Parts: sequence; structure tokens; C-alpha cells
Amino acid sequence: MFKKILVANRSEIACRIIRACKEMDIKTVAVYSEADSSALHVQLADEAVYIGPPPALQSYLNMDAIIKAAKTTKSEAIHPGYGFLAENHEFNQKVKDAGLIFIGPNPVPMKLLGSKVASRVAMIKAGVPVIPGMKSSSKDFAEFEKTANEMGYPVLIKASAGGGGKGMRVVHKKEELKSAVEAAMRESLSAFGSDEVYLEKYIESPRHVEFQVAADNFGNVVYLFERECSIQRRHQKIIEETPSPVMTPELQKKMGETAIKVIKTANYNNIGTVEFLVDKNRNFYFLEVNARIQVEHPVTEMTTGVDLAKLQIHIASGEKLPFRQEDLRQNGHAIECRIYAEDAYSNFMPSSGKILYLKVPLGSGVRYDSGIYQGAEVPVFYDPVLAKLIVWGADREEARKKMLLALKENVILGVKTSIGFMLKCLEHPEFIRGNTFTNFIEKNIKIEKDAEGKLLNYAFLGSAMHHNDNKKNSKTFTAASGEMPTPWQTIGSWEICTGRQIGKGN
Amino acid sequence: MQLKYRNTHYDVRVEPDGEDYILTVNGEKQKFTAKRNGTNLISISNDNVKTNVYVAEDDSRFYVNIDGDGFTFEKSREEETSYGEEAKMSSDKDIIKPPMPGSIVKVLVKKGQKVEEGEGLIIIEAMKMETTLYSSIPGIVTEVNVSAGEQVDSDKVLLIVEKEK
Repeated sequence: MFKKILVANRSEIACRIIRACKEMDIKTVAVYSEADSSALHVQLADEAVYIGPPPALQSYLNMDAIIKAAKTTKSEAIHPGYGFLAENHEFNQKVKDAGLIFIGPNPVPMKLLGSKVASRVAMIKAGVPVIPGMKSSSKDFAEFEKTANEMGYPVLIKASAGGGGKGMRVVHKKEELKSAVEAAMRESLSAFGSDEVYLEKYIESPRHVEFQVAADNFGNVVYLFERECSIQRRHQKIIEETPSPVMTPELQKKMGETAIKVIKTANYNNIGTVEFLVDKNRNFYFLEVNARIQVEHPVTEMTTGVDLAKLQIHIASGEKLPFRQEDLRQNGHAIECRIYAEDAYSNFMPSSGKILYLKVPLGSGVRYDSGIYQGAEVPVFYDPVLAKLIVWGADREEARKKMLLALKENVILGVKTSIGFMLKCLEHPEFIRGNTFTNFIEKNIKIEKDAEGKLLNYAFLGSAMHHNDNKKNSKTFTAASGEMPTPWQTIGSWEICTGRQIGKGN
Repeated sequence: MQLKYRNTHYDVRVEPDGEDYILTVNGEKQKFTAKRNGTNLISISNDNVKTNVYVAEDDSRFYVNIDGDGFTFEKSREEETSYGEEAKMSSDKDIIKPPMPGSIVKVLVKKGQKVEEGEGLIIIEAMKMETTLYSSIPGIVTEVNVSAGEQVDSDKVLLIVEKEK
């Protein structure tokens, strides 16, 4: 087993991995940008190395700085987390060339799966069902127009290197196509360093169902069941759960075996996620493989009892899978809510600032994977995820109830958060019925804030009382720190007494 | 004190009344039973129902959380207090500021250009997300203060749209 691992990431996932390493008695090295010098992951790790200025391109995407940090700290392996360099096959190869181990798949399957287009072609060949669309990315707008016209609108523009909804655009009308392709290219370039985008048929009201897989370096592959991640805004998942409300034992077996086929076709190793769209008739289409640990991995951990972060490290160190398919079971139901610093009432615009107050939810079956603490700054440079709230219940309804409570108990002041918005989603009758489709939010959730007369007055009262108390306290504070009064000023009236005068009783 | 919430100004005052508090919002008085319960917590009781109100403030805002519902109040400066004028301003003039610091991706309009209500004016990128800022009124673009590639702070006036007289 490794003695020391460098974690090439930040925020909650860096903390998650550092904790897994600590449990395994592995020393940890954090890397950080100028904006993160007092971030939680830096505090948790045994060592921390500065890798550059705040913009990700100069720090968390700076391959040479990260590999150098691993070499100087004598780390044996690099864990990339998710996002940043996690699915960058060049980085993967560079790590290998530097004599280090990349905790993830080999560069070759990563390269294949990293290109949505190349992986589509490979999967079509292997007989895996896919969504119709362009065969490759293109810079030629005419090709986008031609394919869109042939298939009919709506269509979906996707970044070839993409993930997390970045560089993704739905286009309903011919007139919108050009600006959407341009915007997707720009976003993709800024987020992934590549402006390769392509187009496919947009399937309306599907579910997003993905399978967690694990493959060791000896050809053993298992699936750890599904996660349903249909609740999305801006094409980015915000609520995930397992099992999927739509799942049946037959469908699960069929999709799980298809996921294994995908993994074997790509000759993939380590843990990964095979994403599918499921339409109204329970047909499923392969979307892509996420060659990394997923944001939503905790729901799988909560229901299977498998620690995926540790499993990644075990596999990377050359161990065999510790279980076979028939050993794996799903137990109960888990839901995850991603707590973002964003304003749901202003087009989910990210919000940055200082965490002035934090109350973490507690209770049985509640897990909080977070990258923040009270007093921490939320910088503007990175993805605005603050924390992930995960709950486990014996069944879906118990998990949902626990999540409602935990969300209400999670107080984060100083930045806007998505908590109130997620409560609305979880309380919606369609969510309760399990009618979770990728258009759930646009279809069901009114983005307008309700008329909130009583609550607004409560909020005013709380603010005013708090402000008055603060003013009082700050006055005392100024007096104490600014013009420190001498004891003579504070004891009231006094006079100099001599020993003789004391007995006099004046 | 003067607070701004979702483009509306509120004059908010509170004074103790024995064990209770009198809240005055824009001249309207209401009585509440409330108690400080922690550094950032005020508990309000009403008809035997207790509600926990979590509050924090910095120089420019109050942040409030009530059972997962978030409220952010801007502390407005004294010179902005005339309500009538503010209302008139907001319907005749749309001052576009970025919702947070970011970089300008593209300016979609030119000075002097006529725009419709809901027309895209400017694309801004923050935290790796592109967002389009739209005009809330029909009118003429009277000011464009930025160009593509520029880094901007959240108090920067990017662009102004005014109704035709």
C-alpha cells in the first residue's frame, strides 16, 4: 500500500479523499492556490503545497506544478478527485511518466471514454444502445445545421470533453443554433481547455440513471447498482438518490450488465460510472462513462456499505476486488443534496463571500461531506459547491423526511445557498411520487419566491434585533479596546485615605 | 434602519415592549414575543409555535435563514430612501450590474440601440458559468461601460437602458 498520496483537488472531495487516506494510515499532501491558503483541505492534510494563483488554469489545472509537488513531497500516487484534471488523459500519462501512480483508470481507456464521440463509436460497435446524433465533433457550423435538420429539433449541443452541464445547450429552434454552438464552444474552452462540441437528438423528459462500476487490474468487473440523478438545473445534478424510483430487478440486471459490457469494451480499470438516459418506456441509452469518482458517490456508499474512495486506492495499489457481483446488495434508500453557493431566484447565479455562520445538520443516518467552515471564504474562481448532504433511510419516504429535516437544520449564512430551493423540490408531490425526470425543475418548480408575509416579518425582526445587539456589543468593545479606562475611572468616586483616617468612619 | 429586499425598500424598526418586541415595517406596527437563543439565533413565538430565525450581518447585508428559507437584505444608504423616486427610477431606467464579480464574455448590444423587454444585453462568466443579463424594460441603451474580456466587480454599472421619453 502507498505511504503517501497527493490529492490534486480542493473543497469537499479533497477532504473526503484525505479522510479515506487517514483511515488507511496513508500520509496526505494537499495542493492549494492563493485563494485557498486557509481552505479546509489544506487544514486537514499532513502537508500542503502552494501551486499557483487563484485561476484554476494556473493552479489546480497546472499539471507540472502538481507533479512537481508530488515529487518534492515524495508522494507515490496522485488522487485527482473529480473535475479539474480528473479526466485529463494527458495528465494521467504525465503522472505515469513521472514514475507516479494515478489513482484512476489507465490513460488509454480514459482517452477513449474522455471523448464522448470516440466512446459513442466504440459502444455502437459493441452493440450498446446510444442516442442518435453527430458521429464526431466539428468546427463546421453547416454540419451542425445539417444534422439538426435531419433529426428535427430539439437538439442538444454537448462539449466533447464535457461534464457537469458545462458547454451544454438545448436548442429548440433553428435560429438559436448558431449562438448556442458558439456559447457551448466558449464554455467548453474555458472549463476544459477544448472547444470541441457536437450535437445529438434531445430526448424529452428522460431520467438520468447511472451505474457505479468497479474494475480491478485483473479483469474483474462488478456494478454497485444505480443512482438516479434526474433532478438537475443548468444540466447539472443537484439531487441524487438510489435506488431509482423507476428500477425493477430485471431492468437493473439488464442495465448493470450493459454497464459491465461498456467497461470491458473500453478495457477500463478502477472505479467509474456508466451514465444512461432512460425514456418513458424504460428504454435506456448509453451516454458516457465518468472516469473518476462522482460527486454523488456517497449515496452508493450508504446503501452498499462499500467505501468507494478507499476502493479506488486499493485498486490503484494493485489489489484485487474484495467482492464478486453476487456479494453485493442494496440496503435501504439514500438521497444526496448538493449545497451550492448560488441564488436560485436569480437564474442560479453563483454566490461568493464569507461563511459568517454555519450549523451542520446532525442525526441518525445523516452525513455531511463539506469543504467549508465558519469563517471560510467561498472564492469566485471555482465551482460553487459548499457541501453535500446525504441521508440514509430504510425506504425512500423515510430518507426524504430525514433530508427535509436535515436541510432545514443546515444553516449557512453569508452566501446565498440552494437549500430553500431543494426543500421545494423534495416537498413537491411529483417528487414524492417518484416522477423525477430531467425537466423536473422547469416543469414543476416555480422559481418565483412565494409571497412570504409572515416569514419576511420574522426575518426583519430577527435582523433588527441582531443588529441592535451587535451595536450594543460593539460599543462596549470599542470602549474596552480603544480607550482602555483605568481602574480609577471605573471604581466610581474615591479619595486617598491614610491609615489614620480609616478608623474614623467618615 | 433601511433595508432593500427584492428591489423594494423597507423601513424597519424594532423596540422592546416589556418581554415583547414591537416591529415597525414601513410604519405598520406588530407585536412579537421573541428571545435571543444563541450568538446568531433569535427565536420567535407566535400562537405557541416557535420559529428559529438565524441571522448574521456584514457591512452591506443581513443574511437570514428560517427553516431553510434564505433572505438577504441589502443595507441601503440614506440617499436612496425616497420610495417614490426609486419606483420611478426602476420602471424608466434599468441599471445593469453584475450579480457577482466575473468577466465579460460578450456585449450583445451597442450604445443607442433599441431593445425589447427581456432582450439579452450582456453575457458574463463567473465560477465557470455563463449567464446572460437581460433588459427588464423596453428602451434605448444609453450607456455601455464595458467590453468583452474585462473583469468586473459586482458594483460596476455595466450598461444602462432607458425608456424612450
